[in-house]
Amino acid sequence: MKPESTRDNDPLAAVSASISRLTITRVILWLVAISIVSYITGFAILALSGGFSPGPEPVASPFNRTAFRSANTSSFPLDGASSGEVRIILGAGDLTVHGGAQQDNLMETTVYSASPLMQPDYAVSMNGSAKRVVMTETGHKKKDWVFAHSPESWDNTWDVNLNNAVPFALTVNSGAGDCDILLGNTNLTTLAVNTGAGDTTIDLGDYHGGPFSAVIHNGVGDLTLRVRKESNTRIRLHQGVGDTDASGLAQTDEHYTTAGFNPTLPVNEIAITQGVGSVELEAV
Amino acid sequence: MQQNEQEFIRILRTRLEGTLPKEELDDILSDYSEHFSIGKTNGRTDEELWKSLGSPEDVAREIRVMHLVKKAEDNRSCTNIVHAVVATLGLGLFNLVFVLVPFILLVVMLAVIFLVGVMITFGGVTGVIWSLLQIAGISAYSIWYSPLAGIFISIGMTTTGLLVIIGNYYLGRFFYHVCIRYLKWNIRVITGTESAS
Repeated sequence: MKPESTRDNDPLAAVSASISRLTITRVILWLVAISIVSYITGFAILALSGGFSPGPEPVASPFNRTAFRSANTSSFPLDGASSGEVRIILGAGDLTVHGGAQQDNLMETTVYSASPLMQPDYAVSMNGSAKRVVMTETGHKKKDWVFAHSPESWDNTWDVNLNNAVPFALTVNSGAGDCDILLGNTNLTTLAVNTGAGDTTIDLGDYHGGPFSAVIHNGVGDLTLRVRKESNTRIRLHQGVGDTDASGLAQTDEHYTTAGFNPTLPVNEIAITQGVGSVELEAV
Repeated sequence: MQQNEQEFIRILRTRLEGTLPKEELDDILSDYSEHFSIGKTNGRTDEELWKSLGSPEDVAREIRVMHLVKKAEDNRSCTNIVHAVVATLGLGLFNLVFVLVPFILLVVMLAVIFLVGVMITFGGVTGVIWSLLQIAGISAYSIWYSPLAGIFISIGMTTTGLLVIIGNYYLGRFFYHVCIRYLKWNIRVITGTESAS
Protein backbone atom coordinates (compact mmCIF):
# COMPACT_ATOMS: atom_id res chain seq x y z
CA MET A 1 0.00 0.00 0.00
CA LYS A 2 1.26 3.48 -0.87
CA PRO A 3 1.90 5.78 2.10
CA GLU A 4 -0.43 8.77 2.41
CA SER A 5 1.06 11.96 1.08
CA THR A 6 1.84 14.86 3.37
CA ARG A 7 -0.95 16.87 1.74
CA ASP A 8 -3.55 14.35 2.80
CA ASN A 9 -2.44 14.58 6.41
CA ASP A 10 -1.73 18.25 6.72
CA PRO A 11 -4.56 20.62 5.68
CA LEU A 12 -2.19 23.59 5.88
CA ALA A 13 0.11 21.94 3.39
CA ALA A 14 -2.85 21.26 1.13
CA VAL A 15 -3.88 24.92 1.20
CA SER A 16 -0.31 26.00 0.61
CA ALA A 17 -0.03 23.63 -2.35
CA SER A 18 -3.32 24.94 -3.76
CA ILE A 19 -2.12 28.54 -3.50
CA SER A 20 1.18 27.71 -5.14
CA ARG A 21 -0.72 26.24 -8.09
CA LEU A 22 -2.67 29.49 -8.53
CA THR A 23 -1.20 31.17 -11.55
CA ILE A 24 -2.20 34.70 -12.44
CA THR A 25 -4.28 33.32 -15.32
CA ARG A 26 -6.28 31.22 -12.88
CA VAL A 27 -6.71 34.20 -10.56
CA ILE A 28 -8.03 36.32 -13.43
CA LEU A 29 -10.38 33.58 -14.58
CA TRP A 30 -11.68 33.16 -11.03
CA LEU A 31 -12.22 36.90 -10.66
CA VAL A 32 -14.06 37.06 -13.99
CA ALA A 33 -16.24 34.11 -12.98
CA ILE A 34 -17.00 35.59 -9.56
CA SER A 35 -17.83 38.97 -11.14
CA ILE A 36 -20.23 37.48 -13.68
CA VAL A 37 -21.98 35.22 -11.17
CA SER A 38 -22.22 38.03 -8.59
CA TYR A 39 -23.70 40.55 -11.01
CA ILE A 40 -26.18 38.06 -12.45
CA THR A 41 -27.26 36.92 -8.98
CA GLY A 42 -27.43 40.47 -7.62
CA PHE A 43 -29.48 41.88 -10.46
CA ALA A 44 -31.69 38.79 -10.54
CA ILE A 45 -32.49 39.29 -6.85
CA LEU A 46 -33.10 42.96 -7.57
CA ALA A 47 -35.47 42.12 -10.42
CA LEU A 48 -37.31 39.52 -8.35
CA SER A 49 -37.67 41.93 -5.46
CA GLY A 50 -39.39 44.43 -7.74
CA GLY A 51 -36.44 46.70 -8.23
CA PHE A 52 -37.08 47.22 -11.92
CA SER A 53 -40.83 47.65 -11.89
CA PRO A 54 -42.73 50.90 -11.35
CA GLY A 55 -43.70 51.34 -7.76
CA PRO A 56 -43.54 53.74 -4.86
CA GLU A 57 -39.91 54.21 -5.62
CA PRO A 58 -39.18 53.33 -9.24
CA VAL A 59 -35.55 52.39 -9.71
CA ALA A 60 -33.33 51.54 -12.60
CA SER A 61 -30.34 51.11 -10.31
CA PRO A 62 -29.71 48.97 -7.27
CA PHE A 63 -29.46 52.00 -5.03
CA ASN A 64 -32.14 53.38 -2.82
CA ARG A 65 -32.59 56.87 -4.17
CA THR A 66 -33.97 58.29 -0.98
CA ALA A 67 -31.31 56.84 1.34
CA PHE A 68 -29.65 60.15 2.07
CA ARG A 69 -32.74 62.27 2.17
CA SER A 70 -34.83 62.74 5.24
CA ALA A 71 -38.44 61.72 4.91
CA ASN A 72 -41.17 64.09 5.96
CA THR A 73 -44.49 62.33 6.42
CA SER A 74 -47.98 63.77 6.85
CA SER A 75 -51.44 62.23 7.21
CA PHE A 76 -54.83 63.77 6.45
CA PRO A 77 -57.73 62.02 8.20
CA LEU A 78 -61.12 61.79 6.55
CA ASP A 79 -62.87 63.37 9.53
CA GLY A 80 -66.12 61.74 8.48
CA ALA A 81 -65.95 62.90 4.88
CA SER A 82 -67.63 60.64 2.35
CA SER A 83 -65.66 61.93 -0.62
CA GLY A 84 -62.45 63.76 -1.27
CA GLU A 85 -60.67 66.17 -3.54
CA VAL A 86 -56.92 66.06 -3.80
CA ARG A 87 -54.77 68.53 -5.69
CA ILE A 88 -51.02 68.00 -6.00
CA ILE A 89 -48.83 70.75 -7.43
CA LEU A 90 -45.18 69.84 -7.81
CA GLY A 91 -42.70 72.08 -9.61
CA ALA A 92 -39.71 69.81 -10.00
CA GLY A 93 -39.18 66.30 -8.75
CA ASP A 94 -40.50 62.80 -9.02
CA LEU A 95 -44.04 62.05 -7.97
CA THR A 96 -45.68 58.76 -7.17
CA VAL A 97 -49.38 58.57 -6.34
CA HIS A 98 -51.00 55.31 -5.39
CA GLY A 99 -53.60 53.77 -3.14
CA GLY A 100 -53.03 52.14 0.19
CA ALA A 101 -53.65 54.93 2.70
CA GLN A 102 -55.04 53.84 6.04
CA GLN A 103 -58.81 53.46 6.14
CA ASP A 104 -59.29 56.61 8.24
CA ASN A 105 -57.08 58.79 6.11
CA LEU A 106 -57.87 60.45 2.82
CA MET A 107 -54.21 60.92 2.08
CA GLU A 108 -50.76 60.15 3.45
CA THR A 109 -47.65 61.78 2.06
CA THR A 110 -43.96 61.11 2.33
CA VAL A 111 -41.67 63.78 0.96
CA TYR A 112 -37.97 63.08 0.43
CA SER A 113 -36.14 66.26 -0.23
CA ALA A 114 -32.76 67.83 0.35
CA SER A 115 -34.09 71.32 -0.10
CA PRO A 116 -36.44 73.14 2.30
CA LEU A 117 -37.98 74.85 -0.73
CA MET A 118 -39.27 71.52 -1.88
CA GLN A 119 -41.17 70.80 1.31
CA PRO A 120 -44.81 71.24 0.39
CA ASP A 121 -47.48 73.39 1.90
CA TYR A 122 -50.81 71.77 2.68
CA ALA A 123 -54.20 73.43 2.56
CA VAL A 124 -56.98 71.38 4.11
CA SER A 125 -60.67 72.25 4.06
CA MET A 126 -64.11 70.65 4.27
CA ASN A 127 -66.82 71.33 1.75
CA GLY A 128 -69.96 69.66 3.05
CA SER A 129 -69.15 65.99 3.16
CA ALA A 130 -66.11 66.36 0.92
CA LYS A 131 -62.62 66.80 2.28
CA ARG A 132 -60.20 68.83 0.20
CA VAL A 133 -56.40 68.65 0.45
CA VAL A 134 -54.08 70.75 -1.65
CA MET A 135 -50.41 69.84 -1.59
CA THR A 136 -48.26 72.54 -3.12
CA GLU A 137 -44.54 72.87 -3.49
CA THR A 138 -43.47 75.95 -1.53
CA GLY A 139 -41.10 77.15 -4.22
CA HIS A 140 -43.83 77.02 -6.80
CA LYS A 141 -45.53 80.03 -5.34
CA LYS A 142 -42.54 82.20 -5.95
CA LYS A 143 -40.91 80.81 -9.04
CA ASP A 144 -41.60 79.39 -12.42
CA TRP A 145 -42.23 75.65 -12.46
CA VAL A 146 -39.66 74.36 -14.85
CA PHE A 147 -36.75 76.74 -14.83
CA ALA A 148 -36.73 78.07 -11.32
CA HIS A 149 -34.88 75.22 -9.70
CA SER A 150 -31.23 74.38 -9.77
CA PRO A 151 -30.49 70.77 -10.76
CA GLU A 152 -29.57 69.75 -7.19
CA SER A 153 -33.02 70.75 -5.99
CA TRP A 154 -34.48 68.13 -8.32
CA ASP A 155 -33.42 65.65 -5.70
CA ASN A 156 -37.01 65.68 -4.61
CA THR A 157 -39.45 62.80 -4.37
CA TRP A 158 -43.06 62.90 -3.32
CA ASP A 159 -44.84 59.70 -2.45
CA VAL A 160 -48.60 60.05 -1.96
CA ASN A 161 -50.96 57.35 -0.72
CA LEU A 162 -54.69 57.81 -1.23
CA ASN A 163 -57.66 56.13 0.37
CA ASN A 164 -58.81 53.03 -1.46
CA ALA A 165 -62.52 53.18 -0.64
CA VAL A 166 -63.61 56.82 -0.55
CA PRO A 167 -64.35 58.32 -3.97
CA PHE A 168 -62.17 61.31 -4.74
CA ALA A 169 -61.22 63.73 -7.46
CA LEU A 170 -57.53 63.94 -8.14
CA THR A 171 -55.65 66.75 -9.85
CA VAL A 172 -51.93 66.48 -10.47
CA ASN A 173 -49.84 69.34 -11.83
CA SER A 174 -46.23 68.44 -12.27
CA GLY A 175 -43.61 70.72 -13.83
CA ALA A 176 -40.52 68.66 -14.41
CA GLY A 177 -39.83 65.11 -13.35
CA ASP A 178 -41.24 61.65 -13.69
CA CYS A 179 -44.76 61.00 -12.58
CA ASP A 180 -46.25 57.63 -11.65
CA ILE A 181 -49.94 57.54 -10.89
CA LEU A 182 -50.91 54.04 -9.85
CA LEU A 183 -54.57 54.06 -8.95
CA GLY A 184 -55.58 50.45 -9.40
CA ASN A 185 -56.96 50.10 -5.89
CA THR A 186 -58.70 53.46 -5.59
CA ASN A 187 -62.11 54.90 -6.32
CA LEU A 188 -61.96 57.87 -8.67
CA THR A 189 -64.55 60.39 -9.70
CA THR A 190 -62.35 62.60 -11.82
CA LEU A 191 -58.68 62.66 -12.70
CA ALA A 192 -56.79 65.62 -14.13
CA VAL A 193 -53.09 65.31 -14.89
CA ASN A 194 -50.97 68.13 -16.28
CA THR A 195 -47.29 67.43 -16.70
CA GLY A 196 -44.53 69.62 -18.13
CA ALA A 197 -41.42 67.57 -18.82
CA GLY A 198 -40.78 63.98 -17.84
CA ASP A 199 -42.20 60.53 -18.29
CA THR A 200 -45.67 59.80 -17.00
CA THR A 201 -47.22 56.47 -16.14
CA ILE A 202 -50.87 56.19 -15.25
CA ASP A 203 -51.80 52.71 -14.21
CA LEU A 204 -55.47 51.85 -13.88
CA GLY A 205 -54.96 48.23 -14.84
CA ASP A 206 -56.56 46.91 -11.65
CA TYR A 207 -59.15 49.64 -11.32
CA HIS A 208 -62.43 48.38 -9.89
CA GLY A 209 -63.85 51.67 -8.59
CA GLY A 210 -66.73 53.70 -10.00
CA PRO A 211 -66.87 55.35 -13.40
CA PHE A 212 -64.68 58.38 -13.80
CA SER A 213 -63.60 60.96 -16.30
CA ALA A 214 -59.97 61.86 -16.82
CA VAL A 215 -58.16 64.64 -18.63
CA ILE A 216 -54.45 64.18 -19.22
CA HIS A 217 -52.17 66.85 -20.66
CA ASN A 218 -48.65 65.57 -21.12
CA GLY A 219 -46.02 68.07 -22.25
CA VAL A 220 -42.63 66.63 -23.17
CA GLY A 221 -42.00 63.00 -22.33
CA ASP A 222 -43.40 59.55 -22.81
CA LEU A 223 -46.84 58.67 -21.54
CA THR A 224 -48.00 55.20 -20.57
CA LEU A 225 -51.63 54.58 -19.74
CA ARG A 226 -52.93 51.21 -18.61
CA VAL A 227 -56.61 50.42 -18.22
CA ARG A 228 -58.38 47.22 -17.25
CA LYS A 229 -59.43 45.34 -20.37
CA GLU A 230 -62.77 44.38 -18.80
CA SER A 231 -63.60 48.03 -18.06
CA ASN A 232 -65.93 50.13 -20.22
CA THR A 233 -63.35 52.71 -21.18
CA ARG A 234 -63.06 55.16 -24.04
CA ILE A 235 -59.85 57.10 -24.64
CA ARG A 236 -59.62 60.12 -26.90
CA LEU A 237 -56.06 60.89 -27.93
CA HIS A 238 -54.71 64.10 -29.42
CA GLN A 239 -51.19 63.13 -30.29
CA GLY A 240 -48.55 65.76 -30.91
CA VAL A 241 -45.08 64.64 -31.98
CA GLY A 242 -44.33 61.01 -31.29
CA ASP A 243 -45.46 57.45 -31.82
CA THR A 244 -48.60 55.85 -30.50
CA ASP A 245 -48.71 52.23 -29.52
CA ALA A 246 -52.02 50.73 -28.46
CA SER A 247 -52.50 47.16 -27.35
CA GLY A 248 -55.76 45.45 -26.42
CA LEU A 249 -57.79 48.46 -27.56
CA ALA A 250 -59.95 49.02 -30.63
CA GLN A 251 -59.18 52.21 -32.56
CA THR A 252 -61.69 54.44 -34.35
CA ASP A 253 -60.04 57.65 -35.55
CA GLU A 254 -58.65 59.22 -32.43
CA HIS A 255 -60.73 57.11 -30.09
CA TYR A 256 -59.57 53.93 -28.46
CA THR A 257 -62.03 51.66 -26.67
CA THR A 258 -61.76 48.53 -24.63
CA ALA A 259 -63.16 45.29 -26.04
CA GLY A 260 -66.96 45.15 -25.75
CA PHE A 261 -67.24 48.87 -25.13
CA ASN A 262 -70.86 49.92 -24.64
CA PRO A 263 -71.64 53.67 -24.57
CA THR A 264 -75.00 53.08 -22.98
CA LEU A 265 -73.34 51.78 -19.83
CA PRO A 266 -71.36 53.93 -17.39
CA VAL A 267 -68.16 54.88 -19.19
CA ASN A 268 -64.68 55.74 -18.03
CA GLU A 269 -63.86 58.67 -20.30
CA ILE A 270 -60.22 59.58 -20.73
CA ALA A 271 -59.04 62.49 -22.85
CA ILE A 272 -55.34 62.73 -23.59
CA THR A 273 -53.45 65.61 -25.13
CA GLN A 274 -49.87 64.67 -25.79
CA GLY A 275 -47.17 67.21 -26.70
CA VAL A 276 -43.86 65.60 -27.58
CA GLY A 277 -43.15 61.96 -26.85
CA SER A 278 -44.54 58.53 -27.43
CA VAL A 279 -47.86 57.34 -26.06
CA GLU A 280 -48.43 53.77 -25.01
CA LEU A 281 -51.98 52.68 -24.34
CA GLU A 282 -52.54 49.24 -22.89
CA ALA A 283 -55.60 47.29 -21.88
CA VAL A 284 -54.39 44.71 -19.39
CA MET B 1 41.16 73.56 -25.21
CA GLN B 2 43.40 71.18 -27.10
CA GLN B 3 41.57 68.74 -29.36
CA ASN B 4 43.64 65.66 -28.86
CA GLU B 5 43.10 62.05 -27.86
CA GLN B 6 43.91 62.53 -24.16
CA GLU B 7 41.49 65.41 -23.80
CA PHE B 8 38.75 63.50 -25.66
CA ILE B 9 39.20 60.45 -23.46
CA ARG B 10 39.35 62.59 -20.31
CA ILE B 11 36.07 64.35 -21.08
CA LEU B 12 34.42 61.08 -21.99
CA ARG B 13 35.58 59.48 -18.73
CA THR B 14 34.47 62.43 -16.63
CA ARG B 15 31.02 62.43 -18.23
CA LEU B 16 30.41 58.71 -17.98
CA GLU B 17 31.92 57.90 -14.62
CA GLY B 18 29.22 56.95 -12.15
CA THR B 19 26.77 56.03 -14.90
CA LEU B 20 28.49 53.08 -16.49
CA PRO B 21 30.14 50.17 -14.67
CA LYS B 22 33.92 50.47 -14.61
CA GLU B 23 34.54 47.53 -16.97
CA GLU B 24 32.09 48.82 -19.54
CA LEU B 25 33.52 52.33 -19.30
CA ASP B 26 37.07 51.02 -19.76
CA ASP B 27 35.93 49.04 -22.81
CA ILE B 28 34.35 52.10 -24.39
CA LEU B 29 37.36 54.33 -23.67
CA SER B 30 39.65 51.66 -25.04
CA ASP B 31 37.56 51.55 -28.26
CA TYR B 32 37.84 55.30 -28.70
CA SER B 33 41.55 55.20 -27.90
CA GLU B 34 42.00 52.51 -30.53
CA HIS B 35 40.02 54.63 -33.00
CA PHE B 36 42.48 57.47 -32.44
CA SER B 37 45.49 55.11 -32.77
CA ILE B 38 44.28 53.62 -36.06
CA GLY B 39 43.41 57.05 -37.40
CA LYS B 40 46.83 58.42 -36.55
CA THR B 41 48.49 55.37 -38.16
CA ASN B 42 46.60 56.28 -41.31
CA GLY B 43 48.02 59.76 -41.21
CA ARG B 44 45.11 61.68 -39.73
CA THR B 45 45.60 64.29 -37.02
CA ASP B 46 43.98 64.42 -33.58
CA GLU B 47 41.86 67.41 -34.61
CA GLU B 48 40.54 65.61 -37.68
CA LEU B 49 39.67 62.53 -35.65
CA TRP B 50 38.04 64.68 -32.96
CA LYS B 51 35.91 66.42 -35.58
CA SER B 52 34.93 63.12 -37.20
CA LEU B 53 33.72 61.75 -33.86
CA GLY B 54 31.91 64.89 -32.78
CA SER B 55 32.23 66.61 -29.43
CA PRO B 56 33.02 64.23 -26.54
CA GLU B 57 30.11 65.74 -24.58
CA ASP B 58 27.66 64.64 -27.30
CA VAL B 59 29.30 61.25 -27.58
CA ALA B 60 29.08 60.80 -23.81
CA ARG B 61 25.43 61.83 -23.83
CA GLU B 62 24.56 59.28 -26.52
CA ILE B 63 26.45 56.49 -24.76
CA ARG B 64 24.75 57.36 -21.50
CA VAL B 65 21.27 57.27 -23.09
CA MET B 66 21.92 53.96 -24.83
CA HIS B 67 23.21 52.48 -21.61
CA LEU B 68 20.22 53.66 -19.58
CA VAL B 69 17.70 52.42 -22.16
CA LYS B 70 19.47 49.05 -22.24
CA LYS B 71 19.44 48.98 -18.44
CA ALA B 72 15.69 49.76 -18.40
CA GLU B 73 15.13 47.02 -20.94
CA ASP B 74 17.10 44.44 -18.96
CA ASN B 75 15.83 45.40 -15.49
CA ARG B 76 12.24 46.58 -15.55
CA SER B 77 11.61 49.24 -12.93
CA CYS B 78 9.99 52.63 -12.68
CA THR B 79 13.32 54.22 -11.74
CA ASN B 80 15.11 52.78 -14.76
CA ILE B 81 12.48 53.86 -17.28
CA VAL B 82 12.33 57.36 -15.78
CA HIS B 83 16.14 57.63 -15.96
CA ALA B 84 16.06 56.45 -19.57
CA VAL B 85 13.37 58.97 -20.51
CA VAL B 86 15.12 61.84 -18.73
CA ALA B 87 18.42 60.92 -20.40
CA THR B 88 16.71 60.85 -23.81
CA LEU B 89 15.55 64.43 -23.25
CA GLY B 90 19.21 65.45 -23.27
CA LEU B 91 19.52 64.39 -26.92
CA GLY B 92 17.39 67.24 -28.16
CA LEU B 93 14.92 69.81 -26.98
CA PHE B 94 12.21 68.48 -29.28
CA ASN B 95 12.20 65.31 -27.20
CA LEU B 96 10.30 67.32 -24.62
CA VAL B 97 7.38 67.01 -27.04
CA PHE B 98 8.12 63.67 -28.64
CA VAL B 99 9.19 61.77 -25.51
CA LEU B 100 8.30 63.59 -22.31
CA VAL B 101 4.71 64.56 -23.15
CA PRO B 102 3.62 61.08 -24.36
CA PHE B 103 5.42 59.53 -21.38
CA ILE B 104 3.64 61.79 -18.88
CA LEU B 105 0.28 61.14 -20.56
CA LEU B 106 0.93 57.42 -20.38
CA VAL B 107 1.85 57.58 -16.70
CA VAL B 108 -1.21 59.70 -15.92
CA MET B 109 -3.47 57.31 -17.82
CA LEU B 110 -2.09 54.29 -15.95
CA ALA B 111 -2.37 56.14 -12.64
CA VAL B 112 -5.99 57.06 -13.36
CA ILE B 113 -6.89 53.47 -14.32
CA PHE B 114 -5.19 52.24 -11.15
CA LEU B 115 -7.10 54.74 -9.02
CA VAL B 116 -10.37 53.78 -10.70
CA GLY B 117 -9.61 50.13 -9.94
CA VAL B 118 -8.84 50.93 -6.30
CA MET B 119 -12.02 53.02 -6.00
CA ILE B 120 -14.21 50.29 -7.50
CA THR B 121 -12.62 47.71 -5.19
CA PHE B 122 -13.01 49.97 -2.18
CA GLY B 123 -16.60 50.78 -3.22
CA GLY B 124 -17.36 47.09 -3.48
CA VAL B 125 -15.97 46.32 -0.03
CA THR B 126 -17.87 49.28 1.41
CA GLY B 127 -21.02 48.10 -0.37
CA VAL B 128 -20.77 44.68 1.26
CA ILE B 129 -20.35 46.26 4.68
CA TRP B 130 -23.33 48.61 4.08
CA SER B 131 -25.45 45.71 2.89
CA LEU B 132 -24.69 43.81 6.07
CA LEU B 133 -25.50 46.88 8.18
CA GLN B 134 -28.74 47.34 6.25
CA ILE B 135 -29.65 43.69 6.82
CA ALA B 136 -28.89 44.29 10.51
CA GLY B 137 -31.60 46.94 10.42
CA ILE B 138 -29.52 50.08 10.72
CA SER B 139 -31.62 52.41 8.58
CA ALA B 140 -28.87 55.01 8.18
CA TYR B 141 -27.15 52.55 5.85
CA SER B 142 -30.15 51.76 3.64
CA ILE B 143 -28.47 52.60 0.36
CA TRP B 144 -29.46 49.37 -1.34
CA TYR B 145 -32.86 48.83 -2.79
CA SER B 146 -32.36 45.19 -1.85
CA PRO B 147 -29.50 44.51 0.60
CA LEU B 148 -29.14 40.89 -0.48
CA ALA B 149 -28.74 42.03 -4.08
CA GLY B 150 -26.35 44.64 -2.72
CA ILE B 151 -24.05 41.97 -1.29
CA PHE B 152 -23.74 40.19 -4.63
CA ILE B 153 -23.41 43.38 -6.65
CA SER B 154 -20.76 44.64 -4.20
CA ILE B 155 -18.81 41.39 -4.52
CA GLY B 156 -19.01 41.83 -8.28
CA MET B 157 -17.73 45.39 -7.91
CA THR B 158 -14.84 44.24 -5.72
CA THR B 159 -13.71 41.58 -8.18
CA THR B 160 -14.20 43.99 -11.09
CA GLY B 161 -11.96 46.49 -9.29
CA LEU B 162 -9.31 43.83 -8.76
CA LEU B 163 -9.53 42.89 -12.44
CA VAL B 164 -9.04 46.54 -13.40
CA ILE B 165 -5.94 46.72 -11.17
CA ILE B 166 -4.53 43.50 -12.62
CA GLY B 167 -5.37 44.65 -16.15
CA ASN B 168 -3.64 47.92 -15.43
CA TYR B 169 -0.52 46.03 -14.35
CA TYR B 170 -0.40 44.18 -17.68
CA LEU B 171 -1.18 47.39 -19.54
CA GLY B 172 1.75 48.98 -17.72
CA ARG B 173 4.04 46.12 -18.77
CA PHE B 174 2.87 46.44 -22.36
CA PHE B 175 3.45 50.19 -22.43
CA TYR B 176 6.86 49.71 -20.75
CA HIS B 177 7.85 47.50 -23.67
CA VAL B 178 6.42 49.97 -26.19
CA CYS B 179 8.21 52.82 -24.43
CA ILE B 180 11.58 51.06 -24.66
CA ARG B 181 11.09 50.38 -28.36
CA TYR B 182 10.06 53.96 -28.92
CA LEU B 183 13.11 55.30 -27.04
CA LYS B 184 15.40 53.07 -29.09
CA TRP B 185 13.77 54.26 -32.30
CA ASN B 186 14.06 57.84 -31.09
CA ILE B 187 17.77 57.40 -30.37
CA ARG B 188 18.33 55.78 -33.77
CA VAL B 189 16.63 58.69 -35.53
CA ILE B 190 18.57 61.32 -33.58
CA THR B 191 22.00 59.71 -33.74
CA GLY B 192 21.52 58.36 -37.23
CA THR B 193 22.73 54.92 -36.19
CA GLU B 194 21.11 51.66 -37.24
CA SER B 195 21.15 50.11 -33.81
CA ALA B 196 20.82 51.80 -30.45
CA SER B 197 22.29 48.94 -28.52
